[in-house]
Amino acid sequence: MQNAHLRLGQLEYLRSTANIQTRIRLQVDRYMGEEADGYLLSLYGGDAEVGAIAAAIHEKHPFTLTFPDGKSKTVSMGADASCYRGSVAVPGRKQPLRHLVAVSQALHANGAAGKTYLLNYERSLAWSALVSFLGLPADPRWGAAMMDVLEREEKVQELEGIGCQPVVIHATRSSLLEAVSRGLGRRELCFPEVNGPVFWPSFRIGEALNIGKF
Amino acid sequence: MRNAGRLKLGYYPLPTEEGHWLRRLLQSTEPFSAIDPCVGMGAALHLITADLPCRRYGVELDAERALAASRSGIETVQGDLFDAHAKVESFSLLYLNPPYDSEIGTLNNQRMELLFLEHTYRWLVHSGVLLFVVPEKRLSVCIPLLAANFTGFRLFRLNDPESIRFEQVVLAAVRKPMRGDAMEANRSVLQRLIFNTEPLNLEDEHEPYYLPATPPAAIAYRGLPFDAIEDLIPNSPAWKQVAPFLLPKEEMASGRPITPLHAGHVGLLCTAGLLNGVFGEGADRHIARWRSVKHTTISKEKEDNVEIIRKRERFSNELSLVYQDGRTLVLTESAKTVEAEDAECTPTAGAA
Repeated sequence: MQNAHLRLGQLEYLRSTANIQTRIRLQVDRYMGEEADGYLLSLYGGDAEVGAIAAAIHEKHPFTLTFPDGKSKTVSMGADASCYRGSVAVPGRKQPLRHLVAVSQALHANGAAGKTYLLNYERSLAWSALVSFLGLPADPRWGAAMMDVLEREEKVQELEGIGCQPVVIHATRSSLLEAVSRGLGRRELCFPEVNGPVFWPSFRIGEALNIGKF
Repeated sequence: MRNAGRLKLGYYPLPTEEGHWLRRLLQSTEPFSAIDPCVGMGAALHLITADLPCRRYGVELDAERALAASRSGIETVQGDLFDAHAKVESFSLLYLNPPYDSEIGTLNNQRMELLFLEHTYRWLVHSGVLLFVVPEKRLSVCIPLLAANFTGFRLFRLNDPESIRFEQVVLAAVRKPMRGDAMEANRSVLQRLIFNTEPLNLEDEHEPYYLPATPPAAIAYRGLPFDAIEDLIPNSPAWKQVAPFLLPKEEMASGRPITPLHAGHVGLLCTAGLLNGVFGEGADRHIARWRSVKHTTISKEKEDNVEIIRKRERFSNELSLVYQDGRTLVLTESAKTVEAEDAECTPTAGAA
């Protein structure tokens, strides 16, 4: 893809101590959040800058996030956010690029408390994630019908995103079990014909990140 | 700038006719280097330097336009101008038509016209020529910088309907560092020119600017290659660590065991979720799915007016069943409570 800068956000962190004011700006390639709460933040840059942002996340400091369309807002990853780091070797550069993904407590417990967060919405991925996170006895072929029900009941809500089109699905295990029960009772869902394991599609993170890429 | 303008990266090229008129302002007999820091597809730079013995250089943010400029014979760097660097005093002509916008940040947001000029004016040799295309009202922020570093100012109005709409003018100037009283006098001249004098008509005859000779130049790009990084970043180890929170887990074992499983083996495989699937016959056919659940028990003790809170974590297993006729069943180690429903599986965050 070309013109990646059009899809990048910018994170600005300002820290003032007694005599020193530090301003750090980094590129954000993925963000998922709602109002002032950030759920997932992926950014990259130099070693020192990424280290400073990781420290700030652990200290629950807020940041200014600028979206690709120019809108800005102050966000925080909240308490108990986790930071995961990686290095990416970029051809033509001596030093590897530092990459940081910060995950909020809410996303860490994805599926719990009746909220399942997804970076991009695609029905088979959404159904597989719901079944896996909530521990549902289900069949992959039920995905279309079940996601129809959830969409009709407006349980799938869009979140703010950078580099992705995130959604949150409001559904608990008991509500989904009830919906499955209704569907089977009305014969809208077909039960597997043969006994044995139920095979689910597998997803890789690269595919999940690129679903709905614009 | 409006969002429509931002989407085009502030790309408002110089009207072709105006390029022909601007060309008449320049003269040179010896080879020289010219740069357009917002080169677009290169049309303006080609028009302005047509038939001149010129080496053309450009910087462009948009990948498609940068490619078009390169193909037209301009040595183009694709990327952010502020990450592009050239040696000072390496160009004879600086044609600058920057985006008409402001910085977006929390502090001290400056006009882009000034920032682009600040970054590039040092690239001009002494006696090199600046052609600065800006809305007339935006020139005022550039007065201190222009007064300290340029002389020989002339202001021209552009006559194309689009240029009239944006009140575009061209400020032509010659690079010459000015200090002390000379700078103050220069500032007065510039202020009079901008605020009190009607701009000249570009279509009239004007004395040309003579461009000094310069050797071939080079532009280095020190910024991040965002396009390449965008393709590389999904393979980052950080994403692999985050995948369990975003993607469904693959809990499936297939194949035939070497020896028959005894009850203990079956129990272990069941609770690990490796024997999920469809079981039973007739009305009892069902899909079974196991999952591990973490329970946290919190106890509070008071000792010498100090409250001690103890948290004890343990894991247990749950089995959910859905029958062919629609019945569902959740088997847990204890009776289900409303408060505990679906909140009990919340794992604690583990920092990496």
